[in-house]
Amino acid sequence: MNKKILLLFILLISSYGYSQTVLPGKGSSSGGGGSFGSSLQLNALYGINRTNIYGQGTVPSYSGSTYGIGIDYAIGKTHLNFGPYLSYKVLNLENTANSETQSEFITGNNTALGLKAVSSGVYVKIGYLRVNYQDKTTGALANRLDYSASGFELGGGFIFYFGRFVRLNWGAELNQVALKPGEISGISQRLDMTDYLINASLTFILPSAGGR
Amino acid sequence: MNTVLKTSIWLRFLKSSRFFVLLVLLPVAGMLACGDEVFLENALNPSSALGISSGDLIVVSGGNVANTATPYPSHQVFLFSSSGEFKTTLYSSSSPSVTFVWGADFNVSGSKLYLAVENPDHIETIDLTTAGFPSSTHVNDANLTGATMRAMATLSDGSIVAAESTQSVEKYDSSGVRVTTNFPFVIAPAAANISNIKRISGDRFVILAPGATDDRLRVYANDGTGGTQYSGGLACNTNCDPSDIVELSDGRFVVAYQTANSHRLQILDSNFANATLLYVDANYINMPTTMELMSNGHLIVCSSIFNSCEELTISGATATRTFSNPLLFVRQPIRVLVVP
Repeated sequence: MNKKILLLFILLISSYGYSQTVLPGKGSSSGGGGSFGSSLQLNALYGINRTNIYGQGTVPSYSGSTYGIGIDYAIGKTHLNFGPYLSYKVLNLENTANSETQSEFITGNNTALGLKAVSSGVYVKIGYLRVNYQDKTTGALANRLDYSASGFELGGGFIFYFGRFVRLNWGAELNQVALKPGEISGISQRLDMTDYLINASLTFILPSAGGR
Repeated sequence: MNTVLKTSIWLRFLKSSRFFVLLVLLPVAGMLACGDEVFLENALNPSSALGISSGDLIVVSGGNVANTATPYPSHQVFLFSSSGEFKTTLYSSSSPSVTFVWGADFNVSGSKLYLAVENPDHIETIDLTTAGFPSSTHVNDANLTGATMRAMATLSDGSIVAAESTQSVEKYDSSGVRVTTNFPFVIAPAAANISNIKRISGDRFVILAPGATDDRLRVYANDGTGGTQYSGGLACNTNCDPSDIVELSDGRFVVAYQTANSHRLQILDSNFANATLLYVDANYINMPTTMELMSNGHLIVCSSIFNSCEELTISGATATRTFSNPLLFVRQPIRVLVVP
């Protein structure tokens, strides 16, 4: 995707979300409306990735997409709550150097367990991350590198409320894992895999939980 | 409660333009974070970006014919694919000018290739991770400038052992500093004519010296102690002309012999005993000079009569020449290496 269009799109939708949910005088619910309680929330996510691997001088770079599901347990009010989350995401990345004769693809999944806070239409989250990736190179370099690694994820974004049971989230994540020699064959020194994810997700409040 | 929350630092931060900037611009900056257009395999192994792949073959050519001879022999170091396709020339003795190149071995990581160079006698190094494969002097020691310099090997401790004459062996640590404990040492007799030194398991190395009447294999520890001699099953107490030795993955050894009317490969057990004929056919391997195990487990054997290298499969104590790869034709192949 053209980077300028992507940037403009991100800025526009983020500005809209910010004005709708946070800025004073725009009817925001920053006071944490609704009654106090708890709820289970199911998420379906889609996003686009940019991943870099640092540690060897040159920096292999990848782009691709991610989709996944998650479950949140929120304690508090509609616009002010806090609780644990669990997410599972599948991603497909391709090296930016790919050509007709040589290509590298990373496929795999990651699981995150962490805490998420919602306030005044925005959310932030931090969690432990476990990834399982397969890195396959074709062409003259033909090789396959399978690895599992641990790290953390940081995320944040805006929440758009559609009635009592549906929400749209627009946000971004930073995922960071360390690939360590000794744990992964073919690596002689530590590599740091940094993944930037811009994502949109739909959240469904389970009716049985009341939809605060 | 709401009043408390509204006045809290947390909410004020969330409402601030600084948080908006943080939330929007940071991921945008992240998405634009520039990497390099490079594959992970190339990043992990810079040599591969220059066309050098694990399993490739490096052949040192030219033998010991001086570059002053007519016709001028090819004293060069070539890179071939594992199937024998020519890739590039890594080093040429014409620049810089030397008499010939003989011994060769990789450093521990495989990022450099060391060469034993004659006249001026020194250890040259080729950087396999930099475009153009620049070479430079690694060891330039007056103790190397005696007789013909031929054999060298890198050891498991990162050091280099080199034959400075027909019978004397020097050692240099990984920085190129001369080691003087237990080194240099001399093998007997004076006409031993060391032609090859090979690293083997157990932090040891083997010296092969076909020039004298006693051609037994001499096995040393990295620190220069030992020197145990093994006959190799042939008439090596008198003359058998061993030219190279390779350790197989099961611990056995293959030794190449150049004795007239032999030109054979013998297989020995892990104690250098119970020698058995592995392969002999002078129509294909005649005057074997160098051997190495390929990445597919096969044995590549080069000989100087046909100026070619043959690929053999080994099953038990029998070797079979494969016809799939005619492999290299180079002038006087004197050392073959497999890129790790």
